[in-house]
Amino acid sequence: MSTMMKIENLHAKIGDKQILKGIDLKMLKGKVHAIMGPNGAGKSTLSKAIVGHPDVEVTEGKIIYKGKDITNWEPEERALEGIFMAFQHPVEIPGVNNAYFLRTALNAKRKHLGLPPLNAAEFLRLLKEKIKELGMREEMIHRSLNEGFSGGEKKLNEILQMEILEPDFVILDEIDSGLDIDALKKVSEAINKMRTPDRTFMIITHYRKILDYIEPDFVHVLKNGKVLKTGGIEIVDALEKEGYKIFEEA
Amino acid sequence: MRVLDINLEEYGAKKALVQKLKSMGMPTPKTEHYRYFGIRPILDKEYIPYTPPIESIEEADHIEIVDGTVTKAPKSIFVEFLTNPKVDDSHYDQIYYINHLLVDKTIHFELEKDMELKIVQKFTKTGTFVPYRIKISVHPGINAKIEEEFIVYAEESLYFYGYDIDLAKDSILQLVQNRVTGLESFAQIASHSVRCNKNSEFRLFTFDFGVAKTLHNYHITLKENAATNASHVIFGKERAKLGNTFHIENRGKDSKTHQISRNILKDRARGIFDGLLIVKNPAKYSAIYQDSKTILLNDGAYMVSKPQMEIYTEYISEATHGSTTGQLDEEALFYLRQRGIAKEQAKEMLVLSFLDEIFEKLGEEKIKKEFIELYEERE
Ligand SMILES: Nc1ncnc2c1ncn2[C@@H]1O[C@H](COP(=O)(O)OP(=O)(O)OP(=O)(O)O)[C@@H](O)[C@H]1O
Ligand SMILES: [Mg+2]
Repeated sequence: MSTMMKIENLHAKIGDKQILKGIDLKMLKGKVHAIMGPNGAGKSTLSKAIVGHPDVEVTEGKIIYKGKDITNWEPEERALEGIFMAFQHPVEIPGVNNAYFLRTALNAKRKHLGLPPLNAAEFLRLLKEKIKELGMREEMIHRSLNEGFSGGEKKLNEILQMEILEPDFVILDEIDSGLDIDALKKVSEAINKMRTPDRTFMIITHYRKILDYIEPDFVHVLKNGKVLKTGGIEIVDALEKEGYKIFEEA
Repeated sequence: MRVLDINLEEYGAKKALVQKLKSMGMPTPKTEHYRYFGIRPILDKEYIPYTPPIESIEEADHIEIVDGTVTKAPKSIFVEFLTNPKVDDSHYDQIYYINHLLVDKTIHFELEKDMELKIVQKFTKTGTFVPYRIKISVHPGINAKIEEEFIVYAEESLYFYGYDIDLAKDSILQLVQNRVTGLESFAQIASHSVRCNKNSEFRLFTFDFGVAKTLHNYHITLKENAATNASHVIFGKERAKLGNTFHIENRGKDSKTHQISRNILKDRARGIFDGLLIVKNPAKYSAIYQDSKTILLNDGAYMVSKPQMEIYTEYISEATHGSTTGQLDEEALFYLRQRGIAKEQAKEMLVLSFLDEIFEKLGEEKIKKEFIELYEERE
């Protein structure tokens, strides 16, 4: 089975604070990797390191993606090569129209792939189809990006972007938080539909519920900036019963 | 000649102006509305004096003014030259009065029917001081739009000009001032006076894009139920100093002032937004709103933003003001880049979104396109 992403001994800081303290993690092509861990464990920081967020300074170790060391790549280069992150807290950008933004992003990607750009009409057709599937209201795509969206609507909008951009490596940082029962189902369906032998998911969550819909192939437990445990869904059962203390370091 | 060397005694025929100037004194670098502009190097320089001649006016679909001389105008507009125009007797700017003192023939346009008018101003003189004035009278009930555009070739020169605008009752004037200045040594101080009579509406858009040194001072007064809606964009680059100052006085009851300013500065450019909104005692139930936002694209850029209010009545329906200065939102920038949008393009999207409110309000694409061109023009 081939490796999509290999993280080796990753140490990273935000400001002066050392947050990642030697992460080793292998994520495989076509697989779903769930990441769990207590608040403040460094899950979001790890995601940010993977996508190249400027706040995160990698001090040691590396990130290998599709065989290439991307540790120092620009965020947009990583994105164009297929890395996508659904943000835990998507930002609101007043004045940037949602549909226009998405088309710009898609056409940047198409250009990178050597494909011609989609015009507004072609794009709108594609977009309408997707929002219907997701149960989003159509007016949302004509609004400013995330502006005034409810917590759940923001999450749906992240999934919409994922569907449009068709990335190869998808990080979902607490995509399930703030979603109502129906929306969680829709989002899970959308994710399941995108599970292919070529695509990898890294799903960060605190809850079992989403993992019932999207069965993970691997579960990793992160704590205090390190991966403490890797296994299958049985880890989630143990966590549900005992909490994170069962994975305390000796 | 040096502008400040003028001898007031020589202007005996313009007694009221001389009197006014004597009481106000000459502008100095400490004068409140010139404090951040740096007038000394501009006013102290030697210039060749120039008096714009009056020439025959060619018929055209727009007005053209070359170095203060009207060269073209449409037939539908009545053009004349006034020797003794009525001046604003309570302007805060000394240069308003100096300008009037130095000008013998004020250009006067009368707008007697609804129209859309374009005024192209060309600045071509080198090393020259050019003073002129323009008066615009909008007749009662008329709805007019004027778009002013600059074409600048003048280096090392100083231009004084300004509009005296009279909005008769029930009239509407939309004035779009599109000031693109591509020459660093071009300097301009303009002093405007706008009188909004009962039930009239003044919509002002100013766009200051470029690298020059320009300051526009506006004294606007509003009578009963009159409204001023002013939107300003400054985009300064290199060593530009681009500024606008205002005294907007709500003098009549139920009058309204709404003013927003959006500024983007890069390199070592400086922007000035210094706006004082005044509500006089009789102006009961009036509403004033003012808000200024600035994005500094790099460290050397600088913005002076001073929204201010003075209220002399107890009964006011709204008084809001605010000012913010900051960098581009880093989280927003990252969000766009995470979706594969290149850094420069992402920045441009954010800058445009910042200006969007004003471009939307203007409702046309032309100036927005000009902005994008200037913005994308990289050294
Ligand atoms: N910008 C920042 N400045 C300072 N500390 C930060 C910053 N961002 C994160 N941290 C700290 O880094 C640690 C890890 O945060 P991170 O967001 O990665 O945790 P997490 O595992 O995603 O937690 P949660 O489950 O609550 O989302 C926390 O202690 C947090 O306070
Ligand atoms: Mg987190």
